[in-house]
Amino acid sequence: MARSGRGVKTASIAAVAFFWASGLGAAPLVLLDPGHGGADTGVIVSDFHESDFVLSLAKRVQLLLKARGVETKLTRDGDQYLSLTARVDLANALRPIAMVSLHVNGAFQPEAKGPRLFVPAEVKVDEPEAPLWEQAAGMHAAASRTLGFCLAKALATTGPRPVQTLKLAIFRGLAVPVCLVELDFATNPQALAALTDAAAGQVLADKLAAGIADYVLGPPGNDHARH
Amino acid sequence: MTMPGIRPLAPFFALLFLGACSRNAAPPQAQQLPLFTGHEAKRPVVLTFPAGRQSGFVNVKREIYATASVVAQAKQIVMALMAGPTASEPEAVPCFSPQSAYLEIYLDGKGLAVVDLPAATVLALPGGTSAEVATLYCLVHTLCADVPMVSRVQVLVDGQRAESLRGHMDIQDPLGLSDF
Repeated sequence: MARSGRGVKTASIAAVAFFWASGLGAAPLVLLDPGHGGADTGVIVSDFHESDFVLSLAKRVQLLLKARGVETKLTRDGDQYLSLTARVDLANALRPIAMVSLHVNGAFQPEAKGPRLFVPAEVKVDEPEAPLWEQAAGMHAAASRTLGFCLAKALATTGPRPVQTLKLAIFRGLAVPVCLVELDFATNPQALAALTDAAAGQVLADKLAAGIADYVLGPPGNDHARH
Repeated sequence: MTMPGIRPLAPFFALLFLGACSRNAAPPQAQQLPLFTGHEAKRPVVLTFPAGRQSGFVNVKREIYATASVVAQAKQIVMALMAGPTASEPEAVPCFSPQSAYLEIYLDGKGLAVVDLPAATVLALPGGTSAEVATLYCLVHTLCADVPMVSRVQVLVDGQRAESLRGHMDIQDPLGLSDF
């Protein structure tokens, strides 16, 4: 997808972000990114649409984080299409202390289940030939890993690699700590039933809010805030 | 009112109209052209598929016609990959949805394979990071393993460079095995 006109768009977003941020003071901001939207519905299984589910979930997490004193902003607050480039531009303009992209997974194996968490790979300082967009995300790789592990702990992710590095398009040129969370597999009937259960959905929102708050404020009962 | 000067050109306009109609029809796909005569010798290849009952991937042996054209070999390999594992290969699951196709495949002779996928094939994928990574890994691993010199694969969608297939893996640049 073309990126022409990006400079102009970035400048305008940056200007809006400056005035927005200047009115808020120094409150930590977390950017919640409900994946997909509009014509891009993400995973569809029967009447389950990933884009609707993650938007609803993100709004729940937003309320829970507000109660914990963490300011949040959504990349989209309705069912509209937003390119990955536009999401990256928004994040880079707002400069949140963390960006969490919410998704529901799909697989060719119906048995696949459980959350998957992805962060950008680290770029070594002795790799000056690495493309600029990789360097941007790589600068925040360590913080992204910390964010990922906070979320993995909250979601009780098991397995040898609870947080994986991957070359995702949402990481391209992103200059903030980020974690993409695939909550579970909609292609697994049992996992889908659990995801769409109302009570379980609230528990999931609680866990995500706890993981994000852990990253932003530090563990519960700890006076030492990470940021 | 008659236009006698135009009447002799009627067959020409008719042909022009039919040509326009055929252009509006589905474009002919390269893979529908004969890739081999069936008289060529066969050679073994190894296709990579997602593992059926566990995480990870499995390799499945196949044979293709060893055509003089390496591109034709690459096309046979991608067709076999899109067709998925057979009933006698329960250890593997497909990495593309049924009826998947490619629009065109190119080799630049310097290690790059370009695989142009139609949007319909992309939209038929299950979605989600794991499925997307599985599709791309199987494609890249199979082409790098089976096509001489190929070490990177650029995936296009409808002839255009895309951000991703379904919103996850970055495919704006060619992918190599180190990207997974």
